Amino acid sequence: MIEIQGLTKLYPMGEETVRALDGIDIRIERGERVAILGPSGSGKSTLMHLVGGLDTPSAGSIKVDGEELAALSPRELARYRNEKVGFVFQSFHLQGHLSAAENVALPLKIRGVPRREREAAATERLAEVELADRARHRPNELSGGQRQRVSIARALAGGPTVLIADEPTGNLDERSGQAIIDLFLRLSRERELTVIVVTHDPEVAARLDRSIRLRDGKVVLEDEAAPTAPAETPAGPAAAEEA
Amino acid sequence: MRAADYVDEILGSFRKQRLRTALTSIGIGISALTITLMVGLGQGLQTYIETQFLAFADERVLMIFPGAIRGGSQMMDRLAGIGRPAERLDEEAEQQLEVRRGGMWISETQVADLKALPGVESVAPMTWLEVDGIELVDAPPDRAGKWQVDMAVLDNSPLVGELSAGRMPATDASEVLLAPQYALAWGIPADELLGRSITMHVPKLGKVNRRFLFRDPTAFKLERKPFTATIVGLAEKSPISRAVYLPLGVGREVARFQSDNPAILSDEKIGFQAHLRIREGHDIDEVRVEIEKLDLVARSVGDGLDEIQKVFLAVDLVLASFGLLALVVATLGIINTLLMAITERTREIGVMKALGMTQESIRMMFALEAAAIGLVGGIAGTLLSLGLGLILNVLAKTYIPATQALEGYEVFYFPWWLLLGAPLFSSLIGGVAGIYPANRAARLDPIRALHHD
Repeated sequence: MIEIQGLTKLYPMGEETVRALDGIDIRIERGERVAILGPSGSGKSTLMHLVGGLDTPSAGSIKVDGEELAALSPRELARYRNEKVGFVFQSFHLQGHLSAAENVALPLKIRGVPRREREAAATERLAEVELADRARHRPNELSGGQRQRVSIARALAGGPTVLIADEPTGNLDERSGQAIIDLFLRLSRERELTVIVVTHDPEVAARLDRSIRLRDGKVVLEDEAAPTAPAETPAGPAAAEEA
Repeated sequence: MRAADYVDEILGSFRKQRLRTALTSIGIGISALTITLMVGLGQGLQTYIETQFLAFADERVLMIFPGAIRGGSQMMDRLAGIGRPAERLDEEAEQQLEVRRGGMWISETQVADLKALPGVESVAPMTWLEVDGIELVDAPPDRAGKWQVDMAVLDNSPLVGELSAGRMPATDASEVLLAPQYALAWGIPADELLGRSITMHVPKLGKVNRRFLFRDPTAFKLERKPFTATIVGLAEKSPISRAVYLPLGVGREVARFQSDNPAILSDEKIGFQAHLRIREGHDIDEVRVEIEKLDLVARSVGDGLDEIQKVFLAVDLVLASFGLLALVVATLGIINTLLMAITERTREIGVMKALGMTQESIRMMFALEAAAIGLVGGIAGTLLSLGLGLILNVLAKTYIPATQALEGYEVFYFPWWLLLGAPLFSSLIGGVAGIYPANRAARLDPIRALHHD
């Protein structure tokens, strides 16, 4: 469970101070799938960085499974990112010189897990995203959708409770994008994983449990159902396969 | 991360930037090469001198000096005493001056006292005289004329050691023992020299202070007198290359003429120093303590060796400083390489941080990478220098004609600590050079790093 209270983030910008987040309160239950929406500059990336432990708040509190992130030292925050959070980026951020399996094993390598053990884990995670046959491929030998699935497998490798995705479909065609969202929904259900997707695509948001809309660092709308819900495919096990 | 994974990361990074890493390593390699070669040169010389020194040195032989020689340090005081105030010459200071001028002698009584000490086997007083040159009587025409002499040593058997031919001169006879170098130079076998005579050309120095001759040319127009003696022996080796060893008899005549003082080499003044041999089974240091109690100064082979080593430490440092200068430049190369690598890999570092890598691990990774560049360059440079040194040693032996004086001289000598130390030192310097870039990488803001182009 994620509990955010009075979360504020200020950035000095020349003479002025920008309020990227202005005292927001959000509560996300375990296993919930949430979309964060908003125009650029609304504070959604800042929120994602704070929940992901990449940044520290100027004021307020973020509790993840009861752990107060604002109180953690840089070293503890690194451990938090390694164990509790999985990141999925718009541009995948895979290491070009490593194979898919080596990329997936990175969080475990950082944790100090022996090579054999982490290789086995990477193989399992790749199977989970249906890329077992691509384990030895380098990122440049994979399609965009496949790369994103490798990065999801990497996000899962550390065994997180929270998956944070920043525009995960932004660089993909519609079908691949759909397949990625299907994958999120399936993983979330199977692993009771909290999924936070930062997006400005209402169709992506519509497929998740809830949308939180930000504007100028404030929550303007918390909506159980998507406002403009298109034909909603309940996240079925038959995840659409991409090209 | 595990140690093996750090190695993996470093090798991966080397593979990614082969050329740049190689060039940076070459920079370090050149400095390691220079340092190793230069120190190897110093070590070659030091080893040669030490070997020569030890060949004549016997740890059971102590050199005994009059206590007044301690006053010698006052000379350095005087030279170094810039800015000292004027001081009153009191009675004690005046006495010290007297002692220093006239007291650099060992007396018969002191020799007797030394001989009486427990553990002392023999004591031989020693004086050196100045001889301008020696002439072989009835020499073949191409060997005729005067030959240079470094030192004429009076009555000192322990210094000579083994003889290659003949015997020691008899105490009161007009006999001499020669250094082997003369036989070699004259081309006459040692045993054929026995029984022949030499003439020594001795200058009369009188009361002239030999060290501080006034720079008046007439002061050098000294009276000279020839002394003739029979060659009765040749030393196997001589610590002083061109030496003539005289017994007390002819030596006393030469000394009295030279000093223009008929009282010299009498009971009170029988030697500038003495060689003392300690009996087997007696502790050298214990005997030394006893000697110091007699107000005499004892020096051992070890003291001499210490001094040689001190001198060569300075020599090595000066020689190595050329390499150190190169190392400073190469260090800048490492810093530059790493800073470039960090800029290129900013996004990668951002991802690693997002995945939970700590600042410490990132710092360690880059510092180790720098140390590894240093190590690779260091090993390459040291091996190259070893090869080069060995080749130059062979060339030196081929092109420099072997003379007895340079026997056993290796121009470059590489002790194990140098071969091991040079790469480790390069690695250490590399690691130090890596601190700044590694800190920069560790402090990168992960969010900015992830958005870096």
